[in-house]
Amino acid sequence: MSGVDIPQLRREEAVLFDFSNRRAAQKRRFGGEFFPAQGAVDTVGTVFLEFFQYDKDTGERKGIIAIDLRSLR
Amino acid sequence: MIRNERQYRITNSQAGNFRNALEQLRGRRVASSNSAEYLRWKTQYDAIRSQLKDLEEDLREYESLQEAGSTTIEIDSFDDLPQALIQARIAAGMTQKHLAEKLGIKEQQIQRYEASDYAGVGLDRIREICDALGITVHSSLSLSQR
Repeated sequence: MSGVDIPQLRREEAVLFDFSNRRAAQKRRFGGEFFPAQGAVDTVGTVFLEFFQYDKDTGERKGIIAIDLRSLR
Repeated sequence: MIRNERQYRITNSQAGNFRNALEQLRGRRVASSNSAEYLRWKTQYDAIRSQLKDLEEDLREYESLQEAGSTTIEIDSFDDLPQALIQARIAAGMTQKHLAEKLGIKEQQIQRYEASDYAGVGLDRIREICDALGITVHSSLSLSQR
């Protein structure tokens, strides 16, 4: 989320910041879920994007979509 | 949903990592609750906590299915059938490999079936899988009003 105007984003789409109930509100509105792609999920610096790309069967990266929010301005 | 021991081990380790990350984030809590910095911190915190909850629920579901042994799984819709087949296999204490051997196919094939929620798998194969798992189906179909 570096470079993203977070307060502005929150004013426009507060639902993106609602992580309650398995992100039910996000899924209702967008049919998908919002996670900060570059946010670290462990203490060695693995980020959400890598976490979701990890295929637990093969150990390889699988395709998921990451959207650069700055490109949507 | 966790489908096998490998996925269980990985999910367990990921949950541990998430807990450590949360702990570390708590130590870096941003004081001013009005700042953009705080919002950034809180988004990261809430996102990790939310995902950790998912991982923990997945772990619990897998553990309780394994403990269940023989069980009845009720489904309300045809769309729930693939998940029910996976749950039934785990409750039967059968690995993907074991099921594959019973059907005379490769373990990876079962992995693919389950990973895709049995998308595109023929009815005959579904029946074979039910037989191999020892599943008894009691179904009721309702016709919506014409």
